[in-house]
Amino acid sequence: MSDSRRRLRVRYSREGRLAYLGQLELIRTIERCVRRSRLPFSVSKGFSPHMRIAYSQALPVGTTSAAEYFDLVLEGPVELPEALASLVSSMPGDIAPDAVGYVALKEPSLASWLTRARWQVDISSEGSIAGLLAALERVAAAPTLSYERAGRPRTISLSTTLASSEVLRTSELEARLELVTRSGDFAGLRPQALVAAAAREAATEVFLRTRRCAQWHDEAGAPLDPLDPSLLLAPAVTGL
Amino acid sequence: MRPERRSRYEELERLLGRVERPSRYVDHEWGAAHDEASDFRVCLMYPDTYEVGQSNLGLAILYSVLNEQDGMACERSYLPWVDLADLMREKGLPLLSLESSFPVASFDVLGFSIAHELVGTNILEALDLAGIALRGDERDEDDPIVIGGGPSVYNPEPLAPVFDAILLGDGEEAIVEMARAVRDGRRAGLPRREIVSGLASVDGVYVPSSYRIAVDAGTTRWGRAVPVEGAGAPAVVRKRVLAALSATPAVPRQVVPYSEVVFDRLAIEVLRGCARGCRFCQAGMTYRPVRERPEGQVVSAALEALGQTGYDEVSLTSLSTTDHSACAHMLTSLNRSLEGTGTSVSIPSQRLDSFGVEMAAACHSGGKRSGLTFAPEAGTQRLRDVINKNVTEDDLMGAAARAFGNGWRRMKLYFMIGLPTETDEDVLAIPQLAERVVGLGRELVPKPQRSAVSVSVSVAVFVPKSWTPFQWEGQLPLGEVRRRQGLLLRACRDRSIRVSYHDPEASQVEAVLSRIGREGFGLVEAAWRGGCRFDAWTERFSYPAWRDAARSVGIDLDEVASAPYDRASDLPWDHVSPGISKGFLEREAIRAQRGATTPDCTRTSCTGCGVCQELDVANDLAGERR
Repeated sequence: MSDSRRRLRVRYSREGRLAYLGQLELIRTIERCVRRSRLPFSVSKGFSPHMRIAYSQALPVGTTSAAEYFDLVLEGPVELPEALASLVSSMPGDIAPDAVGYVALKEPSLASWLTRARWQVDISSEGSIAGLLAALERVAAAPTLSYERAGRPRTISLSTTLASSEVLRTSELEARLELVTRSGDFAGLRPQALVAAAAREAATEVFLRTRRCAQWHDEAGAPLDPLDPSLLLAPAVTGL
Repeated sequence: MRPERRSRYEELERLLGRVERPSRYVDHEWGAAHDEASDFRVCLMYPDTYEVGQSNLGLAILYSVLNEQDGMACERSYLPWVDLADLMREKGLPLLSLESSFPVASFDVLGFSIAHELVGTNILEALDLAGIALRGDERDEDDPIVIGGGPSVYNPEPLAPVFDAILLGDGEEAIVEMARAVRDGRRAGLPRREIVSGLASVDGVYVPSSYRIAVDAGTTRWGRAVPVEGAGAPAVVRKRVLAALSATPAVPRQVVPYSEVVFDRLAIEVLRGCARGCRFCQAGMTYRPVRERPEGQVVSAALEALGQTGYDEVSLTSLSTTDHSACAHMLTSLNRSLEGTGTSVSIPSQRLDSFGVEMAAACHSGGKRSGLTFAPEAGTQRLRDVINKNVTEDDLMGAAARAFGNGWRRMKLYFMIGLPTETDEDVLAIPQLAERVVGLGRELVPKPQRSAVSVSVSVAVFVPKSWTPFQWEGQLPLGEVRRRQGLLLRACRDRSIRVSYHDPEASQVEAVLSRIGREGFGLVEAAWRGGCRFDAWTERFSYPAWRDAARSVGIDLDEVASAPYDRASDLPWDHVSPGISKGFLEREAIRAQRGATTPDCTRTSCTGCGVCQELDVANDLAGERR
């Protein structure tokens, strides 16, 4: 099959209430947005035809993001500014595409290629923040993190998944953390799980606002952005 | 006192991390209406979870028309699941609307969809969570006016004390008139009770507080509702009816959900009403006359709404879509227009004949053949004649043959047990029929796929409903239901046939609430106080809790469900009429006993149900039916 098809890479932010969508809900939502956008999306053949689209790794429920991605296969080229504009106009306000570019059809899938993420966690605590941060330091220094999720015990290797953890600022009742995590073919770390473990240890109740600030591919220590010019067939179009 | 109209979302958000499926509560869907400026506000509530209620077509229509009115805002609310409801009580957070997150109690009108008999405890839960008194006569002057409507209003008495007013029938015009009446009354500074009694002047509206219950020799033990002297209320309230569907938009304003909801697709109402006359079916009696939407309107509205919403499926919904006079042509033109877009067309249930299968096949061209559902309802021709299910075994076998020939392997058959006049022979005929279908499949399906042939048999328990020819019947006692279920199960040997049952205990409570009078409110309230909510959820329904509640108010569930009513008695629901004449129902009841069938008036001549004369309407067909 000769190929006029194009793989459109889209970066978008996810804000506010839409942080509470689960991954399946997000997928359903974005596919409906794409249909509304009237872009010439490609549909797979076969028994149960579906849109050719792939996403970056699931965002934990309750988390906002400045940099999520999806790759959408189009049947033919569309001018990038037009593609961006029609996506923006078909999305609910809290899912906001802000950059698009064409990558090669054969690029590896986003979910496995994106191996680093930077997170910002705003914590407000009912108890002492200092106590919580001390507990967090102990929890983060351990080689593994064990907790229960949906009634099942889980253990995450922190030495594999947690690249760095830093307190950016702190006051009596609030603190802001920055974490960098690694992901790959191993169980990933949710920042919420880390802070929740510290809250348990400090015996305090916390309320978190978590944000994924960036995602990138790590090429032997050098970061590579999903919209890096070296991956694109033409310069990306950003912003509106 | 009316709470302040301000967003409480921040307080709610603090709880969302602690509950399952938080996306139920976030709003901001594509198409949701945001109007925080209008000072007259209506909140429509489906008293179940978001994913059950979100796709309700009736509420979508009302949401649309109310938001089109100048100076009126309409918002939605659903019942929080038990985890969030308990947290909200703990934190002192009241029930909120979805869009503005204002307290529901701050609205001018609160409208409930009365979807089925088991929804009562959820309505009480919602009112309590909102901080609104459960009974109309205990509400404060500036509390919202609490109204109800929907399919299950033709015995409103068990919930009558809850509602200030109940709309019978079609809502698209009446809801606006009701809202205006409340708004004008508020503006004029009328006392609450005058605003409420004034709602009776809107055609189709029943105001329970204007009626008292009289028990005498001419009634059942639950009495009849008679107008309170001086209330100016009519002896009988007749339902509201829309003369033609074509005059209304084919698709109301669409709110596209994020989370997976029960009907997660674009729905277009292609017709309203059904005249097939199945004698157990309440909707078939109460939604008459039959009104079809013209084909052209359906097709163009579907294409436009698919583009606007991004859905990848459109469902042509109604009580009997394959009866639409242009069904085949409509499906063909939709399929042609949607080719290559990955969009599918579906119809909710299949007519039990080969035409029904043809239509199902047209829906799934190239797609998966997941399973096909038919509802013979009874195992023998004799009993099918009693219930006026006008299909023969030949129809069923013809439909099954066509389905197997068209690539289907799995079939689902719906039956009921406990139908009037049912014998063991009728019960045993159910597995026999299923076996014949499986046998036919094994004959017709090519050898390698033969083992895939299967039939699942789903057996409900007959519940006698008001305003049907079987409204005088009692329900089969629980012990006898279980005996017959056992009989059926033991007779079913073939491993390709799977049998599933409805819970007979939930069906009994459903029967009690279908048949009881205003005293039934005490039962619903006691059940809710005893912890019952989400009774329609199998895992939440607790028969022991209902039993205890019944005992505490001196009601015997077995007796109320199974005692027949005398045909000469006035019934607890005679004052709320869908237009059907009681004489017709009586004639149908007698014909049922004789096994005499009655035809469909959209295909033959008038059968005398009385709806057209009583409500001054007529069947409105888009063409000739086949």
